[in-house]
Amino acid sequence: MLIITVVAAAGLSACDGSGAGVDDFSARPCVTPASTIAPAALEGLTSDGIRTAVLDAAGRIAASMPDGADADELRRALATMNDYVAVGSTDTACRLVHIAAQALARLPDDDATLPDRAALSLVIDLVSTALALSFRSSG
Amino acid sequence: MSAFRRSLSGGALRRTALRGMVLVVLGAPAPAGAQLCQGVPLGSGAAAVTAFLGVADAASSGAGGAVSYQLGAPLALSAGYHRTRYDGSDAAVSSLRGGVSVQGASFDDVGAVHVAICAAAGAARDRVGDLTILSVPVGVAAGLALPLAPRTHAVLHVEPRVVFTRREVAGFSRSTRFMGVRGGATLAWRGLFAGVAHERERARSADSSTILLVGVRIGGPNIAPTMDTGSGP
Repeated sequence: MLIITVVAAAGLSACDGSGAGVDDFSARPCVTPASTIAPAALEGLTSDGIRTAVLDAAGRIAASMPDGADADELRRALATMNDYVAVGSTDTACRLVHIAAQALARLPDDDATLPDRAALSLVIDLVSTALALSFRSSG
Repeated sequence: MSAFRRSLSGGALRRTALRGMVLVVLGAPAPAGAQLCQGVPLGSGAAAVTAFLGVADAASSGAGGAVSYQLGAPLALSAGYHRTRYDGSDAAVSSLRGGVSVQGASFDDVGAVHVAICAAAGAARDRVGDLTILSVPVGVAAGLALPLAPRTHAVLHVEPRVVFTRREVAGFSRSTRFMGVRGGATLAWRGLFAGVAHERERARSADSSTILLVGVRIGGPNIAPTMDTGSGP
Protein backbone atom coordinates (compact mmCIF):
# COMPACT_ATOMS: atom_id res chain seq x y z
CA MET A 1 0.00 0.00 0.00
CA LEU A 2 2.97 2.25 0.66
CA ILE A 3 4.09 1.73 -2.92
CA ILE A 4 0.64 2.68 -4.21
CA THR A 5 0.78 5.87 -2.17
CA VAL A 6 4.24 6.70 -3.50
CA VAL A 7 3.18 6.08 -7.12
CA ALA A 8 0.05 8.16 -6.59
CA ALA A 9 2.16 11.01 -5.26
CA ALA A 10 4.57 10.69 -8.17
CA GLY A 11 1.64 10.75 -10.56
CA LEU A 12 0.18 13.86 -9.00
CA SER A 13 3.54 15.60 -9.18
CA ALA A 14 3.82 14.58 -12.83
CA CYS A 15 0.49 16.17 -13.67
CA ASP A 16 1.08 19.77 -12.72
CA GLY A 17 -0.53 21.92 -15.37
CA SER A 18 -0.26 19.30 -18.08
CA GLY A 19 -4.00 18.84 -18.41
CA ALA A 20 -4.63 22.44 -19.44
CA GLY A 21 -6.38 23.00 -22.74
CA VAL A 22 -7.06 19.33 -23.30
CA ASP A 23 -10.86 19.51 -23.46
CA ASP A 24 -11.03 20.19 -27.21
CA PHE A 25 -9.18 16.89 -27.56
CA SER A 26 -11.61 14.99 -25.35
CA ALA A 27 -13.26 11.79 -26.56
CA ARG A 28 -16.62 13.36 -25.75
CA PRO A 29 -18.48 15.17 -28.54
CA CYS A 30 -17.28 18.74 -28.94
CA VAL A 31 -19.36 21.53 -27.45
CA THR A 32 -18.96 24.91 -29.16
CA PRO A 33 -17.34 27.63 -27.05
CA ALA A 34 -19.42 30.52 -25.78
CA SER A 35 -20.04 33.09 -28.50
CA THR A 36 -20.75 36.80 -28.42
CA ILE A 37 -22.91 36.46 -31.52
CA ALA A 38 -26.56 35.59 -31.01
CA PRO A 39 -28.12 33.03 -33.37
CA ALA A 40 -30.58 35.65 -34.62
CA ALA A 41 -27.65 37.68 -35.96
CA LEU A 42 -26.96 34.92 -38.49
CA GLU A 43 -30.28 35.43 -40.25
CA GLY A 44 -29.61 36.48 -43.82
CA LEU A 45 -26.07 35.13 -43.73
CA THR A 46 -25.39 32.29 -46.15
CA SER A 47 -22.94 29.48 -45.44
CA ASP A 48 -20.88 30.78 -48.37
CA GLY A 49 -20.70 34.14 -46.62
CA ILE A 50 -19.41 32.53 -43.44
CA ARG A 51 -16.85 30.49 -45.39
CA THR A 52 -15.60 33.64 -47.11
CA ALA A 53 -15.24 35.39 -43.76
CA VAL A 54 -13.23 32.47 -42.36
CA LEU A 55 -10.94 32.33 -45.41
CA ASP A 56 -10.37 36.07 -45.16
CA ALA A 57 -9.57 35.70 -41.46
CA ALA A 58 -7.16 32.81 -42.10
CA GLY A 59 -5.38 34.67 -44.88
CA ARG A 60 -5.41 38.43 -44.82
CA ILE A 61 -6.21 39.15 -41.15
CA ALA A 62 -4.20 36.36 -39.50
CA ALA A 63 -1.20 37.25 -41.68
CA SER A 64 -0.89 40.48 -39.70
CA MET A 65 -0.26 38.57 -36.48
CA PRO A 66 3.35 38.36 -35.30
CA ASP A 67 5.11 35.16 -36.37
CA GLY A 68 5.21 32.37 -33.83
CA ALA A 69 3.79 28.98 -32.98
CA ASP A 70 0.49 30.38 -31.69
CA ALA A 71 -0.12 32.56 -34.75
CA ASP A 72 0.77 29.63 -36.99
CA GLU A 73 -1.66 27.37 -35.12
CA LEU A 74 -4.37 30.04 -35.40
CA ARG A 75 -3.83 30.38 -39.16
CA ARG A 76 -3.83 26.61 -39.73
CA ALA A 77 -6.97 26.06 -37.61
CA LEU A 78 -8.87 28.78 -39.46
CA ALA A 79 -7.64 27.63 -42.86
CA THR A 80 -8.78 24.02 -42.37
CA MET A 81 -12.04 24.77 -40.53
CA ASN A 82 -14.06 25.28 -43.72
CA ASP A 83 -12.89 21.98 -45.21
CA TYR A 84 -14.35 20.01 -42.31
CA VAL A 85 -17.63 21.94 -42.36
CA ALA A 86 -17.87 21.29 -46.11
CA VAL A 87 -17.62 17.50 -45.67
CA GLY A 88 -20.00 17.47 -42.70
CA SER A 89 -17.34 16.85 -40.01
CA THR A 90 -18.88 19.41 -37.68
CA ASP A 91 -17.35 17.78 -34.59
CA THR A 92 -13.86 18.29 -36.01
CA ALA A 93 -14.74 21.84 -37.11
CA CYS A 94 -15.91 22.52 -33.54
CA ARG A 95 -12.57 21.27 -32.14
CA LEU A 96 -10.78 23.56 -34.60
CA VAL A 97 -12.87 26.49 -33.31
CA HIS A 98 -11.57 25.71 -29.79
CA ILE A 99 -8.00 25.37 -31.04
CA ALA A 100 -8.23 28.69 -32.93
CA ALA A 101 -9.83 30.48 -29.97
CA GLN A 102 -7.14 29.22 -27.59
CA ALA A 103 -4.33 30.13 -30.00
CA LEU A 104 -5.83 33.61 -30.36
CA ALA A 105 -6.05 33.99 -26.58
CA ARG A 106 -2.37 33.09 -26.24
CA LEU A 107 -1.22 35.84 -28.63
CA PRO A 108 0.44 38.85 -26.99
CA ASP A 109 -1.99 41.54 -25.84
CA ASP A 110 -0.51 44.14 -28.16
CA ASP A 111 -2.31 47.41 -28.99
CA ALA A 112 -1.02 47.33 -32.56
CA THR A 113 -2.78 44.02 -33.31
CA LEU A 114 -5.89 44.68 -31.21
CA PRO A 115 -8.24 45.54 -34.16
CA ASP A 116 -7.17 42.45 -36.10
CA ARG A 117 -7.43 40.23 -33.04
CA ALA A 118 -10.94 41.59 -32.42
CA ALA A 119 -11.86 40.78 -36.03
CA LEU A 120 -10.47 37.26 -35.69
CA SER A 121 -12.38 36.79 -32.45
CA LEU A 122 -15.57 37.88 -34.20
CA VAL A 123 -15.07 35.39 -37.03
CA ILE A 124 -14.40 32.57 -34.55
CA ASP A 125 -17.58 33.53 -32.68
CA LEU A 126 -19.46 33.56 -35.98
CA VAL A 127 -18.40 29.99 -36.78
CA SER A 128 -19.07 28.91 -33.19
CA THR A 129 -22.66 30.18 -33.37
CA ALA A 130 -23.20 28.65 -36.82
CA LEU A 131 -21.91 25.28 -35.58
CA ALA A 132 -24.05 25.47 -32.43
CA LEU A 133 -27.11 26.03 -34.65
CA SER A 134 -26.02 23.13 -36.85
CA PHE A 135 -25.67 20.82 -33.81
CA ARG A 136 -29.09 21.94 -32.58
CA SER A 137 -30.81 21.22 -35.91
CA SER A 138 -29.13 17.81 -36.31
CA GLY A 139 -29.67 16.79 -32.69
CA MET B 1 11.39 21.85 5.13
CA SER B 2 11.72 23.33 1.67
CA ALA B 3 14.83 21.25 1.07
CA PHE B 4 12.87 18.16 2.11
CA ARG B 5 10.07 19.15 -0.25
CA ARG B 6 12.57 19.74 -3.04
CA SER B 7 14.11 16.33 -2.43
CA LEU B 8 10.73 14.68 -2.87
CA SER B 9 9.60 16.65 -5.88
CA GLY B 10 9.77 16.01 -9.60
CA GLY B 11 12.32 13.53 -10.86
CA ALA B 12 13.49 12.33 -7.46
CA LEU B 13 10.02 11.25 -6.43
CA ARG B 14 9.37 9.61 -9.77
CA ARG B 15 12.68 7.71 -9.50
CA THR B 16 11.72 6.59 -5.99
CA ALA B 17 8.35 5.37 -7.23
CA LEU B 18 9.98 3.50 -10.12
CA ARG B 19 12.44 1.82 -7.77
CA GLY B 20 9.50 0.85 -5.56
CA MET B 21 7.64 -0.67 -8.47
CA VAL B 22 10.69 -2.69 -9.52
CA LEU B 23 11.08 -3.99 -5.96
CA VAL B 24 7.44 -5.01 -5.87
CA VAL B 25 7.68 -6.82 -9.20
CA LEU B 26 10.88 -8.64 -8.31
CA GLY B 27 9.99 -9.13 -4.69
CA ALA B 28 8.12 -12.26 -3.80
CA PRO B 29 7.38 -15.47 -5.67
CA ALA B 30 3.68 -15.41 -6.27
CA PRO B 31 0.84 -17.74 -7.15
CA ALA B 32 -1.37 -16.78 -10.09
CA GLY B 33 -3.25 -13.75 -8.94
CA ALA B 34 -2.31 -10.97 -11.31
CA GLN B 35 -5.84 -11.09 -12.68
CA LEU B 36 -7.08 -10.06 -9.25
CA CYS B 37 -5.38 -6.74 -9.93
CA GLN B 38 -7.54 -6.39 -13.05
CA GLY B 39 -10.66 -7.42 -11.14
CA VAL B 40 -11.07 -10.72 -12.95
CA PRO B 41 -11.14 -13.83 -10.75
CA LEU B 42 -8.94 -16.30 -12.62
CA GLY B 43 -6.50 -18.94 -11.51
CA SER B 44 -3.32 -19.96 -13.27
CA GLY B 45 -3.87 -21.00 -16.89
CA ALA B 46 -7.46 -19.75 -16.98
CA ALA B 47 -8.95 -17.42 -19.54
CA ALA B 48 -12.15 -15.42 -19.43
CA VAL B 49 -14.49 -13.72 -21.82
CA THR B 50 -16.21 -10.61 -20.50
CA ALA B 51 -19.04 -8.54 -21.93
CA PHE B 52 -19.78 -5.10 -20.58
CA LEU B 53 -22.33 -2.36 -20.80
CA GLY B 54 -21.42 1.28 -20.30
CA VAL B 55 -23.50 3.15 -17.77
CA ALA B 56 -21.34 6.26 -17.53
CA ASP B 57 -24.26 8.69 -17.51
CA ALA B 58 -27.70 9.23 -18.98
CA ALA B 59 -26.23 10.97 -22.04
CA SER B 60 -24.24 8.03 -23.32
CA SER B 61 -24.51 4.35 -24.00
CA GLY B 62 -21.82 1.85 -24.72
CA ALA B 63 -21.00 -1.81 -24.96
CA GLY B 64 -17.97 -3.96 -25.50
CA GLY B 65 -16.12 -7.10 -24.72
CA ALA B 66 -12.75 -8.30 -23.52
CA VAL B 67 -10.70 -11.43 -23.20
CA SER B 68 -8.35 -12.06 -20.27
CA TYR B 69 -5.72 -14.68 -19.69
CA GLN B 70 -3.82 -15.57 -16.54
CA LEU B 71 -0.49 -17.11 -17.45
CA GLY B 72 1.18 -19.69 -15.27
CA ALA B 73 3.72 -17.07 -14.36
CA PRO B 74 2.43 -14.17 -12.25
CA LEU B 75 1.40 -12.40 -15.42
CA ALA B 76 -2.07 -11.51 -16.66
CA LEU B 77 -3.04 -10.18 -20.07
CA SER B 78 -6.24 -8.61 -21.31
CA ALA B 79 -7.54 -7.06 -24.51
CA GLY B 80 -10.87 -5.56 -25.36
CA TYR B 81 -13.01 -3.36 -27.53
CA HIS B 82 -15.57 -0.79 -26.43
CA ARG B 83 -17.92 1.46 -28.37
CA THR B 84 -19.66 4.45 -26.82
CA ARG B 85 -22.37 6.66 -28.29
CA TYR B 86 -23.40 10.04 -26.93
CA ASP B 87 -26.90 11.45 -27.21
CA GLY B 88 -27.24 14.29 -29.72
CA SER B 89 -24.10 13.30 -31.62
CA ASP B 90 -23.54 11.06 -34.62
CA ALA B 91 -19.99 10.39 -33.52
CA ALA B 92 -19.24 7.16 -31.66
CA VAL B 93 -16.08 6.49 -29.71
CA SER B 94 -14.32 3.25 -30.66
CA SER B 95 -11.82 2.06 -28.07
CA LEU B 96 -9.25 -0.71 -28.38
CA ARG B 97 -7.53 -1.55 -25.13
CA GLY B 98 -4.87 -3.93 -23.95
CA GLY B 99 -3.39 -4.44 -20.53
CA VAL B 100 -0.79 -6.39 -18.63
CA SER B 101 -0.44 -6.96 -14.90
CA VAL B 102 2.63 -8.45 -13.27
CA GLN B 103 2.06 -9.67 -9.77
CA GLY B 104 4.80 -8.68 -7.42
CA ALA B 105 3.48 -9.66 -4.04
CA SER B 106 0.73 -11.86 -2.77
CA PHE B 107 -0.60 -12.42 0.72
CA ASP B 108 -2.69 -15.50 1.45
CA ASP B 109 -2.84 -15.19 5.18
CA VAL B 110 -4.71 -11.93 5.66
CA GLY B 111 -7.53 -13.68 7.44
CA ALA B 112 -9.36 -15.54 4.68
CA VAL B 113 -8.56 -12.85 2.16
CA HIS B 114 -6.16 -13.28 -0.75
CA VAL B 115 -4.39 -10.06 -1.68
CA ALA B 116 -2.27 -9.38 -4.77
CA ILE B 117 -0.18 -6.31 -5.54
CA CYS B 118 0.87 -5.78 -9.15
CA ALA B 119 2.62 -3.47 -11.53
CA ALA B 120 0.17 -2.67 -14.29
CA ALA B 121 0.48 -1.09 -17.71
CA GLY B 122 -1.60 -0.88 -20.82
CA ALA B 123 -2.21 0.75 -24.14
CA ALA B 124 -5.41 2.13 -25.61
CA ARG B 125 -6.48 3.67 -28.87
CA ASP B 126 -9.69 5.69 -28.86
CA ARG B 127 -11.08 7.06 -32.06
CA VAL B 128 -14.01 9.41 -32.53
CA GLY B 129 -14.51 11.10 -35.88
CA ASP B 130 -11.15 12.57 -36.86
CA LEU B 131 -9.82 12.51 -33.29
CA THR B 132 -7.40 9.77 -32.25
CA ILE B 133 -6.28 9.32 -28.66
CA LEU B 134 -3.40 7.01 -27.83
CA SER B 135 -3.02 6.32 -24.11
CA VAL B 136 -0.47 4.46 -22.04
CA PRO B 137 -1.51 4.02 -18.41
CA VAL B 138 1.14 2.89 -15.92
CA GLY B 139 0.33 2.18 -12.31
CA VAL B 140 0.28 -0.09 -9.33
CA ALA B 141 -2.80 -2.20 -8.80
CA ALA B 142 -4.11 -4.03 -5.77
CA GLY B 143 -6.70 -6.75 -5.85
CA LEU B 144 -8.25 -8.87 -3.15
CA ALA B 145 -10.46 -11.92 -3.19
CA LEU B 146 -12.76 -12.58 -0.29
CA PRO B 147 -14.27 -16.08 -0.12
CA LEU B 148 -17.97 -15.87 0.65
CA ALA B 149 -18.92 -19.52 0.20
CA PRO B 150 -17.41 -22.57 -1.52
CA ARG B 151 -16.53 -21.51 -5.07
CA THR B 152 -17.91 -18.03 -4.47
CA HIS B 153 -15.71 -14.96 -4.09
CA ALA B 154 -16.02 -11.23 -3.99
CA VAL B 155 -13.15 -9.53 -5.83
CA LEU B 156 -12.19 -5.89 -5.31
CA HIS B 157 -9.48 -4.04 -7.18
CA VAL B 158 -8.08 -0.53 -7.38
CA GLU B 159 -5.39 0.93 -9.60
CA PRO B 160 -4.04 4.46 -9.22
CA ARG B 161 -2.08 5.28 -12.34
CA VAL B 162 -0.42 7.88 -14.45
CA VAL B 163 -1.85 8.07 -17.97
CA PHE B 164 0.24 9.41 -20.83
CA THR B 165 -1.77 10.42 -23.88
CA ARG B 166 -1.21 11.75 -27.35
CA ARG B 167 -4.27 13.27 -29.02
CA GLU B 168 -4.46 14.19 -32.69
CA VAL B 169 -7.16 15.86 -34.73
CA ALA B 170 -6.95 17.49 -38.15
CA GLY B 171 -3.16 17.78 -38.00
CA PHE B 172 -3.09 19.24 -34.47
CA SER B 173 -1.76 17.24 -31.56
CA ARG B 174 -1.39 17.48 -27.81
CA SER B 175 0.60 15.30 -25.44
CA THR B 176 -0.68 15.18 -21.88
CA ARG B 177 -0.29 13.18 -18.74
CA PHE B 178 -2.57 13.01 -15.79
CA MET B 179 -3.37 11.00 -12.74
CA GLY B 180 -6.24 8.57 -13.03
CA VAL B 181 -7.74 5.74 -11.07
CA ARG B 182 -9.78 2.70 -11.89
CA GLY B 183 -11.34 0.09 -9.71
CA GLY B 184 -14.27 -2.16 -9.29
CA ALA B 185 -16.04 -5.00 -7.55
CA THR B 186 -16.84 -8.42 -8.97
CA LEU B 187 -18.79 -11.34 -7.61
CA ALA B 188 -17.52 -14.70 -8.85
CA TRP B 189 -19.56 -17.85 -8.60
CA ARG B 190 -18.07 -21.03 -10.01
CA GLY B 191 -17.11 -20.14 -13.60
CA LEU B 192 -19.26 -17.04 -13.82
CA PHE B 193 -18.66 -13.52 -12.59
CA ALA B 194 -20.46 -10.19 -12.69
CA GLY B 195 -19.63 -6.77 -11.34
CA VAL B 196 -19.10 -3.09 -11.83
CA ALA B 197 -15.97 -1.15 -12.75
CA HIS B 198 -15.23 2.55 -12.77
CA GLU B 199 -12.48 4.56 -14.41
CA ARG B 200 -11.82 8.24 -13.77
CA GLU B 201 -9.34 10.76 -15.04
CA ARG B 202 -8.45 13.23 -12.33
CA ALA B 203 -7.79 16.10 -14.72
CA ARG B 204 -11.15 15.82 -16.43
CA SER B 205 -13.80 14.18 -14.30
CA ALA B 206 -16.19 14.33 -17.29
CA ASP B 207 -14.16 11.59 -18.91
CA SER B 208 -15.05 9.00 -16.32
CA SER B 209 -16.76 5.78 -17.24
CA THR B 210 -18.68 3.14 -15.37
CA ILE B 211 -19.43 -0.29 -16.77
CA LEU B 212 -21.45 -3.30 -15.71
CA LEU B 213 -19.76 -6.54 -16.65
CA VAL B 214 -20.54 -10.22 -16.88
CA GLY B 215 -18.01 -12.89 -17.71
CA VAL B 216 -17.35 -16.56 -17.97
CA ARG B 217 -14.16 -18.41 -17.12
CA ILE B 218 -12.74 -20.79 -19.71
CA GLY B 219 -10.52 -23.54 -18.29
CA GLY B 220 -8.30 -23.38 -15.24
CA PRO B 221 -9.36 -22.74 -11.67
CA ASN B 222 -11.11 -19.76 -10.16
CA ILE B 223 -8.61 -17.30 -8.66
CA ALA B 224 -5.67 -19.02 -6.95
CA PRO B 225 -5.72 -22.79 -6.46
CA THR B 226 -5.33 -22.33 -2.73
CA MET B 227 -8.52 -20.35 -2.73
CA ASP B 228 -10.69 -22.67 -4.76
CA THR B 229 -10.73 -26.39 -4.34
CA GLY B 230 -12.97 -27.03 -7.34
CA SER B 231 -11.77 -26.72 -10.89
CA GLY B 232 -15.08 -27.26 -12.66
CA PRO B 233 -17.67 -24.57 -13.23
